[in-house]
Amino acid sequence: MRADELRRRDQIADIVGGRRPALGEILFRGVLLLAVTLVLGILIGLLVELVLRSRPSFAANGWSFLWTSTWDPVHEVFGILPFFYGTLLTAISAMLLATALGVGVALFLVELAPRILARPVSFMVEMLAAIPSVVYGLWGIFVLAPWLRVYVETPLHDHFGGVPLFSGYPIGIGYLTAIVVLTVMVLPTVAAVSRDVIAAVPQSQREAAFALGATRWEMMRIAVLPFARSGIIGASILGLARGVGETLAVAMVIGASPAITISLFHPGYTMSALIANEFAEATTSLYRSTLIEVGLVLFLVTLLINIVARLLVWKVTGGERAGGVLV
Amino acid sequence: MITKRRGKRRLLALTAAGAIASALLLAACGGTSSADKTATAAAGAPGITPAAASPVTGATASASGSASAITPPADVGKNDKAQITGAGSTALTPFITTIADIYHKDVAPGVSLNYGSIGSGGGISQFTAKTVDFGASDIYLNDQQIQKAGGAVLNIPVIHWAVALTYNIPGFSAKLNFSPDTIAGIYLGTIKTWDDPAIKADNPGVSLPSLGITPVHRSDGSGTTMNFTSFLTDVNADWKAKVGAGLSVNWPGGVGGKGSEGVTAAVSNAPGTIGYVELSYALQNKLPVASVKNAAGDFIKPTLASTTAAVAAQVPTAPADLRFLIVNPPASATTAYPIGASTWVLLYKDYPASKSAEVKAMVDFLWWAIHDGQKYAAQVDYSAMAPNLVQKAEQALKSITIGGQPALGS
Repeated sequence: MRADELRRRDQIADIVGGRRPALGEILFRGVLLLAVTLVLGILIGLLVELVLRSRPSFAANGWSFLWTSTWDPVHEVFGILPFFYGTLLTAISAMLLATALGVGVALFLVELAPRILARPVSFMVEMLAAIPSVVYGLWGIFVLAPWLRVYVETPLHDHFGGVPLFSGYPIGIGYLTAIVVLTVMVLPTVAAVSRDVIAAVPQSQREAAFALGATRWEMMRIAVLPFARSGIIGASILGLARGVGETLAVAMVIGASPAITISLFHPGYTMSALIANEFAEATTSLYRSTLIEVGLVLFLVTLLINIVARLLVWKVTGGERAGGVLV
Repeated sequence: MITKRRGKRRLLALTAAGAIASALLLAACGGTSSADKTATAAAGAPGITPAAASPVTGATASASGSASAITPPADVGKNDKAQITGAGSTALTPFITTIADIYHKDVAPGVSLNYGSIGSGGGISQFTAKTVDFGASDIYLNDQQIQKAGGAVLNIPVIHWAVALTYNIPGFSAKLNFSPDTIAGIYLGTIKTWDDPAIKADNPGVSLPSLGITPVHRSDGSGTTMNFTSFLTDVNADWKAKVGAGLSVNWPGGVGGKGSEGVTAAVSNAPGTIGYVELSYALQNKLPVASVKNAAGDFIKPTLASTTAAVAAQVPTAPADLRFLIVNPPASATTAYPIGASTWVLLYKDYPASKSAEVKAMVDFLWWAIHDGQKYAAQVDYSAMAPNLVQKAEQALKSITIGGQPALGS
């Protein structure tokens, strides 16, 4: 609640009750203000700290840091393009897969599933979000990677090895495994938000569609999905942000080899995994500063995603014509 | 328009969540800021050579300095009462916690050890920040780090281990041999299949499949990588020019696994892979390990004994400050496995009188650790110190002073 709104309420109270605001009211306002300042302060403080600590790296590595591909801590040559590529490739692929799956799950839960099934299933989908990242990582490396190698990668490689997507030697660890693990991790977020959004579509819309003679699928297509579209886009962008930031599970299965390649079997690397792997033993000050700059880039990418998300939803909801507010 | 409202509110929540997520991420990145100030350059630093350490500079303590003539008894610490704190190398953890328990039970009931297994880099930071009594690292401090430590520093190796090569070749059960150049070739990507002439030459009469080789390395910064790449730098000019030695390096290819378990998982899952792990990890998990050709020209299997043999061969030429690596020992050591490693305990040479109880207890404990403690190394699959190294470590411990007085036997 905004401060001026509180003030307006005070004024109303003054007129109606003819009394001064109670002590509790003032305290409450103070507590809220403190909470807001704290959150903003932490955010700005961290940004300032990141920028300050990145300065040695920026001075040594310059702008080419962003578009060169060599990462050599021994000779202190640093370029993050492959890590940037890996981060976007894994997060965007996982977002697309998780959105397709998540919307399907949400439609089933809201529109099709009997109540007796809907509740336990949606509870179980949400439980996926409660599993710690390291558990996903261990599952990825000990169960999923060998399984994918034998039953997915090897057959694909044997039959479609000529397709660039399936070229390279399948070893189980690499982009494909990282994308699958990330998809499972992002899915509960997308599914839960989409379910809420779809459930909020007014019942009258559905009834109107049925009244026009729509089948169940047509009803969902013409009455439910257009209404829920902005919310679903919001859900998938939220999933994208989660995918970009996810660290440990990805670090365990991606194969830690900076490479810009279209091959899904190839090991890759992400920015967050790089920081997690190398920060603890980064022993020169330039090396440390460079890893902090990688953190800064990651922060800016997340910021960009949020801005794009706002713009997208604003546009989808009709922009200014519909009385939407951008900021 | 219920949905639109909802959508908007959702978006607000989403932006807030994004902001908080970023904030947390930053917190994670910036968390070590205090350590950062004192953190010192280390093993990954450019210019470090795997051969014997560079000449001793100003602040480096010479071990033989003010050694006292009296040799303390083996149970020197039995009347000590103190809690010792140390932190660093994860490789040291099984050994030091095992012997600290035995020391507490059998020798000095008043002494207990609190060891933080936080990694070598963390151990060096904590040590130079003086928040622990001793640090432990898989690589000795370089000159720059010693200067930052603010006082004369002793690097004392207390335990040894080897870097073992493990592999996955389906249907292969013979003994596998590698010469150093073959290992470099595999990790450089110039040797691409298991039936390459170079591998065949190392393994005459053994049939090897025409299967692609995928080299697996550690993705996290690690002392194992440091010693492995130091070995390759020492034996192969190509490796030295293109990659070099460090805790993390720019690998020419292959796959990274996080930790020894990550490397092992990658190797055991996929045929055709080869990876390197600490010998203790290979022994405990019963992994197949390859023999490596030493300077004498013999293919030696990594064992506790062949590692100690390598240590013994390196000691006579080691500098007085004990900063030396156990890679590629001289040809006189015919039974030595050539990729060895040490874990160093990091100590100051002079301590103020204010911490005398802890420091005395710690020096007494380390005295016991390099003597009686060594026989427990094999229990945790580590190699004991060579006798000629124990003598040098004795000199180093004897040189430690508390308020100007020798710490040992006082």
